Amino acid sequence: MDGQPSIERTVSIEADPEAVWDHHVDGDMASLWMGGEMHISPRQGGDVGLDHGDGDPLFGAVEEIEPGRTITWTWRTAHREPTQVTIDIEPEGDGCRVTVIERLVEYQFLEAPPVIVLPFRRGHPHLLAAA
Amino acid sequence: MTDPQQVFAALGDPTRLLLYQRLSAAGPATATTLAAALPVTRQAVVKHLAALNDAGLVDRSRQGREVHYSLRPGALTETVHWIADVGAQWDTRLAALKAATEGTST
Repeated sequence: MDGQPSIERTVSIEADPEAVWDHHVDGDMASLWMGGEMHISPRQGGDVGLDHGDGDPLFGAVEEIEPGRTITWTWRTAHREPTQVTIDIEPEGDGCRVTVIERLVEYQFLEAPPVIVLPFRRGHPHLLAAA
Repeated sequence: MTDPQQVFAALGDPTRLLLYQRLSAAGPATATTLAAALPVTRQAVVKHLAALNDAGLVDRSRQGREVHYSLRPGALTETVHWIADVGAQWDTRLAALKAATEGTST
């Protein structure tokens, strides 16, 4: 880790890891629990979006994916700085353990006012290329 | 509004943290007074105060020929709130994920 502020949560789930994985990479299934309408293209560079219906949707891209095990994406809203989300799914007994880490991505525009920061996909090409 | 990212970056520097603590303990001060109290040049103090000001942690006000720096109330609270909000959001989501998946795959 690089000392950026972050949160980490882990939950044990008594369900087939594959079913739990599907709940992450299928937009309709992810929308059941993510707290909004989730859109996801589960491939590197694929779109990720989450609309809470509050007029400030999250949008970003998948940076890393290992089907069934782990997915990382970075997203942001028009008003908030980008964060990176990593989800790991590990088999545990008959079920699995899900770990989520969300952290702020290093601030890129310290000298520029946030209003001129372009949307994620065009404004942070280095992040997309880094994966 | 303060940006948590910028707040953490600003306070990640030992001198700026020291300045922030000094302003917190001793109240509003000029760059000259702060430089006298700390092992840092006035020039460096001015630069660091500008970074704290950019991050929204410190306010500056001109009084005659002097510029006074003071802590901006509530600035750090917003950062702490970010961590609490994001954490709470995932608590809710993961509980919903557990509910949505358990019992459906039997």
